[in-house]
Amino acid sequence: MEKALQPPTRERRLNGVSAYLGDVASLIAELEAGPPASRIRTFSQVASDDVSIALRVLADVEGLGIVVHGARGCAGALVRSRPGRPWAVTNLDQRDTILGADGNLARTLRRLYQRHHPWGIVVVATPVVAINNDDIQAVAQELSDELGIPVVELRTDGFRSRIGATGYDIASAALASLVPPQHGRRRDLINLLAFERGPGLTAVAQQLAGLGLEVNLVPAGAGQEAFAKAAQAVLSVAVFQDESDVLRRELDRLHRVPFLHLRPPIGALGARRFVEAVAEATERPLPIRIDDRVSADLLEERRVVIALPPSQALAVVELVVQFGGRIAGISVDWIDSLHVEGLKALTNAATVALHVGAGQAFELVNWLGKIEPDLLIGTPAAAATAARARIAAVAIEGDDLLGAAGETKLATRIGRALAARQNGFTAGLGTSAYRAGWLKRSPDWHIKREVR
Amino acid sequence: MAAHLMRPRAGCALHGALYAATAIDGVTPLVHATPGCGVQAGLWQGVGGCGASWPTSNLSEKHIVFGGASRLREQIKNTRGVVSSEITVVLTGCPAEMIGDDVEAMAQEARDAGDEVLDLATAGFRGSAYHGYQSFLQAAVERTVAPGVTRAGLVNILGPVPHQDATWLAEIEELSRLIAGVGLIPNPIFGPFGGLSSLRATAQAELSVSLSPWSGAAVRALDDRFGIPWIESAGLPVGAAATGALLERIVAAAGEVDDAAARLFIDRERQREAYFIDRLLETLYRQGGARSFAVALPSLHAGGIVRFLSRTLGWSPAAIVVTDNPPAEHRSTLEDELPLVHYSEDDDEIAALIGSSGAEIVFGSSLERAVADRLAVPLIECAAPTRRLSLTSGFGGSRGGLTLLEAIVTASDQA
Repeated sequence: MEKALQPPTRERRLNGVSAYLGDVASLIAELEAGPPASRIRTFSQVASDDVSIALRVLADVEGLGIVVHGARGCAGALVRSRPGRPWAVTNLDQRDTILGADGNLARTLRRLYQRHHPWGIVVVATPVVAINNDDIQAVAQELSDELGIPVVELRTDGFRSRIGATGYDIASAALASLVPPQHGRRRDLINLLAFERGPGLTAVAQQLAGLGLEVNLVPAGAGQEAFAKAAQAVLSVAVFQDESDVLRRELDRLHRVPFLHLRPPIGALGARRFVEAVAEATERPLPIRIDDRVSADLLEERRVVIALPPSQALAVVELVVQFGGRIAGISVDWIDSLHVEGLKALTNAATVALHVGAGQAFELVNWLGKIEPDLLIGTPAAAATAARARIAAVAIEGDDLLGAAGETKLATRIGRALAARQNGFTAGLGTSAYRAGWLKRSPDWHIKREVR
Repeated sequence: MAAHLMRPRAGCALHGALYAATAIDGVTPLVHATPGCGVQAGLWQGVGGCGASWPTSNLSEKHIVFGGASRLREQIKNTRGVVSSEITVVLTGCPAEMIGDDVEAMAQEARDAGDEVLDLATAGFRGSAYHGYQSFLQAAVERTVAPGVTRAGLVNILGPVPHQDATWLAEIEELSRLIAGVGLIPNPIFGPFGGLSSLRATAQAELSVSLSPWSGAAVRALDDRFGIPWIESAGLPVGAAATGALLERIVAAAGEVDDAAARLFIDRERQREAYFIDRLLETLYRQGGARSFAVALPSLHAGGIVRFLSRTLGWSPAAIVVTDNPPAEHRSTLEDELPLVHYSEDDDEIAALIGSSGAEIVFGSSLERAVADRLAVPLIECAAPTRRLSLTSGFGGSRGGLTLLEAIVTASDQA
């Protein structure tokens, strides 16, 4: 089995930016001029890192064993995983942090295997072992030979990248190494790359299956069988390309499975474009065209802020415009070169305000106070922040948005949020933890350029 | 060398200290660690709602190599400018302690500038979330509380670990109600009726009640520093009988209390429970009468629930597993009049103990779902991790006993 390459951070690989406040056009110019300025915060709040995101990715792979090599707290992202999920933590104490814990890791791997017989095990590195430099690779290799299953190192560290999405990349590299080589290519098999599963993903997969294709979902919900098939696929497509970038590259590099670049299948039009593109690439007849778009003038020129992961945010712009709204601003956790084309496609890029916030709620609440939108469409955390700032909010997550059902779901939630605002809802009011002085300042006063 | 754990049910020391600091209005925790350390604390909680916008130094690679003290300095200063609070508590994670940042010096610098800043070593490798609560509470008492004039009837309530014990807030509220019921003044520290003033008032209390082993160090510190006597309970009392017994001890240890009024209150609590149980008796017998049961619970709830089921309902314990690894010196108190008690934090070991017990009903966390299903018996979720949201209904006190009964009857009816 060929070893996966350890991907560099999003900052180094894709010129990722995790702090920015300004207009879209200026950031596009900066990204096109070369590596952007590194901006850092002199005040910050907790945010997802590569460890927590990588763990969330792994937790959704069926039958895969996970060993978190670190202190017990580093396994938090696995606590809500499905019952029976085989995972363990090496539970390092102070002595282990000084003397290393290779032996402890080997014992944990043996016990996890003896007890649960996973088809593969991923060892997730944490800040502690990144600092004390335990040789995980050597232990993984030794135990892989001893147990007769792949034992793979996943080298997250929690501090090299300020962009949590680096965790998708590192997890993807580890997962790609679990895909065994296969002879032959199946022209009726495609890989659908996704890190979150739900009814939306199922619906998209069914639409693709309607083309007469077998849809191999990886890695969300995939088990050993799906991984075994992945190298035979005629091509891969992803619901959200920015999350899946390394996985698709590794499938191409290791197994020559090409990737078809597509915009996310969000909304009826997005889903149709997605399916039609796959049909064309796999030389299949186009499906019957059903016009199931919501054609309401729901938003009536209202000013909307979108606060979602980047590829979702850029795709939802189209729906907001379709619903008759105006984009007042976009807040994302990070932006990198994968998003430049999407940013360019914004019709009023010079005037749309862009906040790259890395999950910093205090920045978002200040920024929202300054632009005073009529509505926020965002993650549940962003929606709660907006509610505290007396702004009507819709909470929606990636899978909720997929396909025609996603469009209907979003329209319904927008209608309810606007009605709630009209009814004068009070949830979240009076609970702000921030000083009035902070809310009067510029939302980026604490961001400075890093001295290289 | 620490032993590895399969699916543990509590996060690390940083998390426990973070949860405790978060639960005191007026205190702002500041995490000196990498960005994910705080996020993982939130992820351990799920539906707990402990918030996830904690200030943090967000150490990056540069700080790991060259040190993060200056980053901490600016973070302390700017936290005071952005977040409303009276005290900032700097909590260190593993990376900060491993690279040897002089956190104490940074905190002292802020104190010299007039800010109230407390620093605490809470790296994850120092133990579980319960240890973090213990360290935080002891440090808070020793370093932020000043002597004061004793307030007659004031009783400190300590023991439920905020956000880690699944029903912590409901338990504190029920104990507060009971203490007020016997004519004393509850001092809860954590939750909406606690706060920094409540923490500072601990030195003025007449008495402290320690409801779990994890508050032992703090009540001893209050005794050592301010001469405040304390009562150690064998976990949270569950049901009117155990609650009445604890209240009687509290009344006896407190100064001036109207004994007759206190007695009347305790009797009414017993009557209320008896009334409800009487109406449920037929249902309980229809559901099989006395059953054998297994518990896999932290020390706050394990003993109390076992005693309630055994003494009030006459059920038989088949396995008792205490899941939070309480300090050895408190174990004999916890085990008071209980048959063989096992201690384990390891999910595989706990599942094996419960699975081989032959229990007809299981009291535990959502992690016991698989073994309960294997045994084909009902599971009552009383501990973290759990999908049961408990804002107001705990299992402690006389009302908690009835909550437990409601859960038992409902789950048995659905089984």
